[in-house]
This record gives sequence, C-alpha cells and structure tokens, in this order.
Amino acid sequence: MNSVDSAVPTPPALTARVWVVLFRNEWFKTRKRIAFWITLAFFSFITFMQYAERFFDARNDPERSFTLPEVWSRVFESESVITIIFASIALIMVASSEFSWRTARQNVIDGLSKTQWYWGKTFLIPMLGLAFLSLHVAIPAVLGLLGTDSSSATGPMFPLSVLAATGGTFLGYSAVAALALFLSLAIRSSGPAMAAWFFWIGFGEQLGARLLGQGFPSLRPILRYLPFTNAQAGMSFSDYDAGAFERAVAAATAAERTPPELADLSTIMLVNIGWVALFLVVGYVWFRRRDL
Amino acid sequence: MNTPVIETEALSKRYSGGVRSEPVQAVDQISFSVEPGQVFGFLGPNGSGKTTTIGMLLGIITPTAGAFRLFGGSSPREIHAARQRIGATLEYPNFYPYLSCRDNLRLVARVKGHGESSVQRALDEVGLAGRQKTKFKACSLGMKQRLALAATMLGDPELIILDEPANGLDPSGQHEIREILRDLAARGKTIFLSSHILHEVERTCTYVAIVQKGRLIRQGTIAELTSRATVVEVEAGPDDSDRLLEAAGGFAAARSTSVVEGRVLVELVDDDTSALNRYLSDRGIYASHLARKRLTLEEAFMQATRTSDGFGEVQ
Repeated sequence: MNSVDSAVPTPPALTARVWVVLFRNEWFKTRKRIAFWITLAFFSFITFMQYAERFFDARNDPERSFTLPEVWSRVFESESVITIIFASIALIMVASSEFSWRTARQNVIDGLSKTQWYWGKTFLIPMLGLAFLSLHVAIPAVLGLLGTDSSSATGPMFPLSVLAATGGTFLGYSAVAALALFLSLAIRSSGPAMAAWFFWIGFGEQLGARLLGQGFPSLRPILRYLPFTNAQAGMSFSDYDAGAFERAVAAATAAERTPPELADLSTIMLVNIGWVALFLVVGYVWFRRRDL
Repeated sequence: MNTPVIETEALSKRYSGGVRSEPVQAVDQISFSVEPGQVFGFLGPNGSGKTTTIGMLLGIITPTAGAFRLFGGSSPREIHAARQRIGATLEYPNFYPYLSCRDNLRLVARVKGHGESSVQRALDEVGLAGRQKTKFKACSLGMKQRLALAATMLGDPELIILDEPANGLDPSGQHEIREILRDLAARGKTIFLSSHILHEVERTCTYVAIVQKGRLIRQGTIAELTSRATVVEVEAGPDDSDRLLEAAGGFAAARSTSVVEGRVLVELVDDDTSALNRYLSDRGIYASHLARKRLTLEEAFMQATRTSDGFGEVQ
C-alpha cells in the first residue's frame, strides 16, 4: 500500500474549498431547519407589531409622526436588544443540537477535522445576525416609507449613517453571539446553554455588575465594557448620524434634561471585536481539548 | 511489504472521572494491525473499549497514551489526510433528523469532496433510492442503518469502519448487510467491523481481535481462534456412557464436562488429549471416538472472555 503522502495530497486544515463547503453546509442546515424559520417568523411578527402600532398611531394622530429618516432613531435604540436576543437564541438552538443529535462527532468521522468543524460553526454568527438584522431594519423601513411623503422629508430617507449604525449593531451582536456560541459548544445542550447565556446578560451584566460597581466604584469604568453592556452602548443612532444627534440634544435641552454625549464608537467597536476574538479563541481551545 | 492500514501501539484511553466517579481505564495498551484487504472483526462485551478504540482512530477521542498510524501516517496532517480515505459509522446512525436521507448524504458528500452522482450511487447501493426524500426522523432503524452504510461508502473509501452495522435489522436486513460487506471485501476494501452478532463476524471476517475490560485478550484468524480451544468430543459404547461422563468429570485437567447428542464434551485446561485417553482407558473405558472439537466463534469468544480476567497476556 502506498504511503499517505504519495496517495493523497495532504490538505491544509482550512483551504478555500473547505471554507466554501463549511459555509454551504451551515447555510443548508440552517435554512432547512423549521425551528430557525419559526424563530425568524416570530421575531418578524413582534417587530412588525411594535412598529405597526406607531405607524397607525401616527396616521390617526397628527401630533405623532412615523416618518423617515426620524424612524431610524427608534430602530437603532433599545429595539436592537430584542434582535440580539432572538438571533442569539436561534444560534444556541442551531449550534447545540449538533451534540444532542451527535452529528458533531459524525461530521468529524466523515472527514472534517475538529478545527474545521469549529470554525464552520462560527459562520452561524454572521449568518443569523444578517437574517435577523435585515428584518430589524427592513420592517420599520417599509412602514416608514409608507408613512413618509418624500417631498416633506427632513433629509435623505436612507442616509449612509443607517449603514454605519447597522454595522455597529452587528458588531455588538457579534460579541454577544460569540458568547452564545461559546456557551453552546461548551455546555453542549440548548436548554442549559440558553439559561447560562440569559444569566450572563441578565443577572451577570445587569444586577451583578451594578452590585460590583457599588462595592468597588473603581471598577465602574471597566464594567461598562462587558459584552452585552458594551454592545448596547454602540447601538444608538444619534452616535452615527449628526442630524439625529442634533435632534437628540435639542429635545433634551427643551425638556431641561442633560444633553446626551457622543459615545466613543471606536473604543466600543474595538472592545466588541476583542470580545468576539476572545470568545472564539477560548471556545476553540476548549473545544479542541474535549472528546466528541 | 504492504503498509498496514491501521496500526496501534499500546493505545490507551483513561477517563479522569468526575467528582463522584472513579477514573476509568477504557482502553489499556491495545496493539494490533489491520492489513490491506483484511476483513477485521473487533469483538468484545459491552463496555470493553471497542467504541473508544474506534473513536480514537477516527479523531473524536484523544488517546491518553500510545500511538496509532493510519495508512502508515502518524503525524496530525497525515492522519487527517488518511481519514479522507476512510468511511465510518460509530454506534447508532447519527444524522440530522429534519433532513431527508438524500440531503443528509449531500452534506456528507460535500465534506468528502464528491458530487451529486456519488449520492445517487450510494442510495442505489443500499436500496434507499425509493425513500430518499424520507426525513431521517421518520426512517425505521433498518433504513437508518442503510443510510449510515450509504454515507460510509460515499466516495468509495479504501477503509471502511463499521460499528454494529446490523443493529436493529431483521434477518433479511442482516443478510443484505453481510452481502454488501462481502461485496466490498471482494472489491479489495479493508473492513474493520465491530459487532455483537458473532455468526455475522464468523461469516464475514478473516481476522478477529477480542477485547475485554479495555485490553486485547486474543487475536488471530477465525481458524486460529476456533481451533485453539481444547474441547474434546468423546464417545464410548452405550453401556459406558454414564461411566464416561463420571470419569471425565474426575480428570484433573478437565475444566468442565457436558453431554451433547450422546457425546461427552470435555473442556481441558491444557492441550493434552492423549492424557485424557490414557486416563479413561486406565479406568476401563475405551473411547470409540475421541477428537478435538472445532468451536464456533461464539463458543471461542465465550471461552476467551470467561477465562480471561482482562489483564492477561495477548494470546
């Protein structure tokens, strides 16, 4: 029998062909999964209801408005948190079931290395993020368009800052989703992984961090860079759009509130990228060490 | 000289145990080699370390000691490359329950770098072409086993590793699997088969290794394993039958005696059948027939696992 070297070219761990196969397989598995579509449909319904209420209120009450580009200030604010939560839940469901079905081990038996399998799973972060974020932007955009008389719009209806805010939200989501992926692959069961993730973003970063900040005030500047808190800090449209920022300052002054300050977006985005890298690398090392 | 397809050297796996559980030596210094074209049976009771051993060869379990080579390669790159030449299924068939048989095979084909035509061929080979759109979760166990076999054969691998391929199949399904395995063997494929169904192994395999408590206790060809047991079949005249059984039971080297179809079977602790003959004639019992009995693989397996405490030398 021939030796391995002469019979088969030794493939590097992650060639372009392998990346393509991994992406195609992950997309194929996700789009065929009913649980994914149900989560996406439910999210769409909630998002639609949320904006439809405001849309119809604006139609019936001249004092209220639901027009572009003002709508963007509502889209990239607290509503983004729901998108992050839904996309991360979908990610946990899709990723951790590979262990309950034992398909992770079968994929490796079929010829993927553990490294290839792991990095293939990371495709889920952008894949699911884009699916949910697209709807997060598209639903209010369509409703806003229906409610806007283009001749009376206060500025471009789709300013480039929408793209920047979408990018910022996506990076924030990626940090929180990388945590979700890490927990899914470490815990290997969707229920406990989801519970751990909610515990982190709910208790850990809200109550836990607040208590820690009260006990140790010197820690406060660091605690605001925790993944979920930091992601939220980079989601406000007024930080991306000068017009929206001016409107926010004017509204705060009129209401005799402290005017908002521009967030340090470059630091926030760097921290987001840092969290993504940290969770993915730690997750990879952990995954490599464990048997399937 | 041909390079062995699989070679293990003192391969071991120890699970460190948890807070409430003791460490477990699942595989303990197993060494064997599988030659090209061999149909290798890997036998052992439940929990003997078979699946762990196969898992180490397939890269899903990391050995704690020892080494192995696949197609002569031992470095991580060589092992990864060698795995592209292997088709394998471990324990229960594992597929995506919400995908059809065809879609599941499509995923495997992409990983192995093969196209749609290979998927169709594999479905045809295992008789699943007519049920290719059935979702995996709706398949019977027999269909699942066939699908696993189809996935294993995708891309025409040189080495096929199967763990209990006939589990849950009816006799005709088992027969079909056996036929497929024979066909693969006839085509020169190397087959590594782990199974509890010993008559299936006996009919299919050319070489067998038996593991118990993580250790390799026997290995050899089927003929070597079934002829090594020292069971002697003795027959005497009709008047001497009762005396024969009683006398054989008193023979110092007899481990056990039994009567099967009027003949007395004596299992010896050693190989000395003439000593038994002398012993009987000294007591006035003259055997009309005295011959070593060839065991079935099942009997040889039972004898090996019963007599070994799992810590003996490989024989």
